[in-house]
Amino acid sequence: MLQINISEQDCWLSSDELCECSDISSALLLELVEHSIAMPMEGEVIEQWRFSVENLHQVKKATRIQRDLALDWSGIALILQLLDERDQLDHEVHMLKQQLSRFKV
Amino acid sequence: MNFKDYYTVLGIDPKANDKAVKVAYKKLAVQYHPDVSKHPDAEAKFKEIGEAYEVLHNTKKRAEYDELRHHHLNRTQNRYANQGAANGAGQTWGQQQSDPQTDQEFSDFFSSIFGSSRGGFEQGSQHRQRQTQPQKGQDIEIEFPMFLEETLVDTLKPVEFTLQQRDPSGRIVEQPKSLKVKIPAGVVNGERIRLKGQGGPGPTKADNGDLYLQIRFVPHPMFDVDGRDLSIVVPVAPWEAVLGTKLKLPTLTGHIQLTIPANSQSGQRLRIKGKGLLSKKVHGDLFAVLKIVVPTSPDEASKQLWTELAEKNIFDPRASWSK
Repeated sequence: MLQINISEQDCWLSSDELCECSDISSALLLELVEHSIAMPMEGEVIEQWRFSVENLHQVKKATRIQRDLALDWSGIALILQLLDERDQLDHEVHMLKQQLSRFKV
Repeated sequence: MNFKDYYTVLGIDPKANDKAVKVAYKKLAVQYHPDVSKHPDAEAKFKEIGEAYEVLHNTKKRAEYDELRHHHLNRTQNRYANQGAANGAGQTWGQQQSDPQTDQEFSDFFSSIFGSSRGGFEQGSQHRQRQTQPQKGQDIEIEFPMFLEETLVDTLKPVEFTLQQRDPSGRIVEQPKSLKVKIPAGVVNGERIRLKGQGGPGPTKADNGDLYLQIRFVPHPMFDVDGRDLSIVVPVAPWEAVLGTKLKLPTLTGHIQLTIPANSQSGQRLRIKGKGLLSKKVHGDLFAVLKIVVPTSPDEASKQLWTELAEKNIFDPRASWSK
């Protein structure tokens, strides 16, 4: 059976890789960074940027929403931010319910 | 193959104009978009809505579909008249395997009439590229359960998943695939790990899709997770809370001795530094949350002691009410 070790390099993507994996142009990547949809972990210029795998997921989500709902990027940035907040609140509610259940007799 | 009534799918009248079609689609698309909606059937519903819109917003396709629908309704009416039989519409959607597939192939019903091409809500986004390059294999995303204990050290874990491939005759067949992956210490709940080229097959090995493992912590019987911190509820007797005590506290790596200070309160949190989860090479903390537990059936001697305590004590637990 094939064994895979996760290297440090598997944890981030270059700008080119992000564009390839999410099927976007570098011009769009610049636009997504302006809207904080894509957020480089490090690097000053596009050639040096590094993105997390999580950010790739966010970019893919943004492009699907843009294609399917025809919204502008600032609207999509707001949606993503609100979805993140909803997920965090869901997690918090779940955790508090779990703790409460441990306190019940 | 069941007939699909696209007007019913969009909830519009067959005489609805283009604008009404677009408004109905947009309303439902926002409601059921798999990236936004929490509806359990969001992906299937969204595909159905997209398919209906694809047909009804296109004058040529709509005319073809209307003709087909007209014949279908006539046939159905005749069948009712002859047999009194009922006919129901069905769904034949595939199972989600990767990111929400909002641009996957349409249903057999659609393909049998129009082929499998798609225009999309905003056709041909100007930002897209690589249309001329060969299609990369499908990315696969699977939820990957991990026990909390496993996240503290590098852990070799088997990964099993199914790839959908087309056989030489063009049929989709499922092919099981197994790997062993060394998951690095310090992964966090919800984190995605990318395994390059381990997804669906592409034209060449280099063009294979990627496999994404989304880490999901298995709920622990004792510990709750908050980021990289853990908490554990510690039951203590009333006299332990008042007088203080020392007890053996379970952690992910074994037991430690915990000192409960005198006059502790129920719900009080005691921080044990560095006994939480590992994240970015830093250990989180463990919080012991005290829960004062009263004996459910005290014996006579204990009852007497409690009574004596109640008589001699001037403590008023509800003093704040009278302020």
